[in-house]
Amino acid sequence: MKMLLAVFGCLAAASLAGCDVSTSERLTRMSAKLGGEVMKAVADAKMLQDPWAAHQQLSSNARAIEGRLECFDGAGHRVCAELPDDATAAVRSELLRYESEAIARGDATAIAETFDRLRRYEGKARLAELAPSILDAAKRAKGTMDDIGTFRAAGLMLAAGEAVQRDSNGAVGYLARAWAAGDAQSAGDIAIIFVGMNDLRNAYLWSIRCVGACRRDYRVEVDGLQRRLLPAAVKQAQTGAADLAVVELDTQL
Amino acid sequence: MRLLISTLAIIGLISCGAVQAKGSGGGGRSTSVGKSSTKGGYRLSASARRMEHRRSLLERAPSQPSAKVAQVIRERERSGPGWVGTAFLVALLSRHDLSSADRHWIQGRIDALRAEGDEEDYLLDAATTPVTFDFKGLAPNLEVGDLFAVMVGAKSKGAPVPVTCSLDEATVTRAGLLTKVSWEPSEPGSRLLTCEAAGHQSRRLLRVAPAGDKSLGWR
Repeated sequence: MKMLLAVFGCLAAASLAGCDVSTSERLTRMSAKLGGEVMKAVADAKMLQDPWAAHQQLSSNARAIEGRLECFDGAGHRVCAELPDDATAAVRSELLRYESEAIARGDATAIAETFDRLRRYEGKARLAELAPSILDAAKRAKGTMDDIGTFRAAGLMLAAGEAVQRDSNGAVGYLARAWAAGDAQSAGDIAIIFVGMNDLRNAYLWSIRCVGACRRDYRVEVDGLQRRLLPAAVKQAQTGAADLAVVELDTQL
Repeated sequence: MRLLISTLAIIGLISCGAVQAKGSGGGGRSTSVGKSSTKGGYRLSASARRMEHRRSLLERAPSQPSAKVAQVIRERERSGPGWVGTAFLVALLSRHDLSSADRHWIQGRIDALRAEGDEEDYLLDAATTPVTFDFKGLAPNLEVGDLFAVMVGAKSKGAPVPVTCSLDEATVTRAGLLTKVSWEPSEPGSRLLTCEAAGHQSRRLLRVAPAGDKSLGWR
């Protein structure tokens, strides 16, 4: 539709300002040609068994094709070729389908990359759709380094309480497993969760563990938390932090 | 006559000053339990309350507890920053060997402290929980193929209580009030052992390294 309007626009402009008919022909031909290539890319992706591999291939090819769309100058008028609506819709629909399938299968890379993108670009509604699959995947995960992204996605979703109902205890559990698998930053995230729960002892315990690659938020600065504790509490938390099996100082449910 | 008036005036001034000195409590003692402390008839600012509360509890109290409780408080203050707060007093109330007079005194101080200021002004003491867990045989760093067996018990206020545990792919069996968790991990990764007793939870992180390499990629 947009392509059609662009062509009509050019024709209308042509009658007024001398934009030549050949420009509109070029727009139409380009749109049709590249639209055809997009539909071929959609068909090629369907041949792949792995939904995330299909997603990545289609996304990459569609971007490359879109990058070849050109703009033409008329007299004082610039018009750009666009992909046909049905081609654009097909790509969008297939990408969403592959994403859902990959996450439902527990694909750790799909979960990590999708969560990161949706969290940064305000994809709350989409994240809420995918949340049950992400949490299922986290429940099944064995806890290797490959599962860090899955645990972080599950933990941060449960902590935020936007895509799913808030569960701070569950969030700490998943992020602790991410930390155990080698993700330094999860220690800082857990400390922030405990600050949010007004549990300063456990916030301090995890702020001590936030070292190396872990970046401490101002809310979990070690000295600031330590100043809120008596010496016995400081010692208790430091002893707990040194025991790598401890998740938190024992809590009342 | 003028000398008499002057003398009487001087006597009056001295008496007035003595009454004032007596009424101020000679160092800021509160006049009764449960009322806000005042100096010069106005409420202390938050920072002044913090300074006030950093003084010994026994010095500030209008009455004294038994010698035994006073000793406990003094020892606590000596081992810490020189004062105790609400958290310590609440923990003290859970002792079984307190007289009713001591309980009344401690509760009175708790009420007074709470009435005087924001509890967040106080430093947090070590966490205490009436339920303690014991993980006998816990080996947090395992290899694939190791046999993990831990016997978990729990006590509430010193008395054993039933404990339940969960660990993915593990065999969990009850042995009286204890719980035995047996597991032979077949894949590397991390697991969460979660146990509950009397409304309390205790969790432990277990790490499983590939067979033959406990140090590879693990903390």
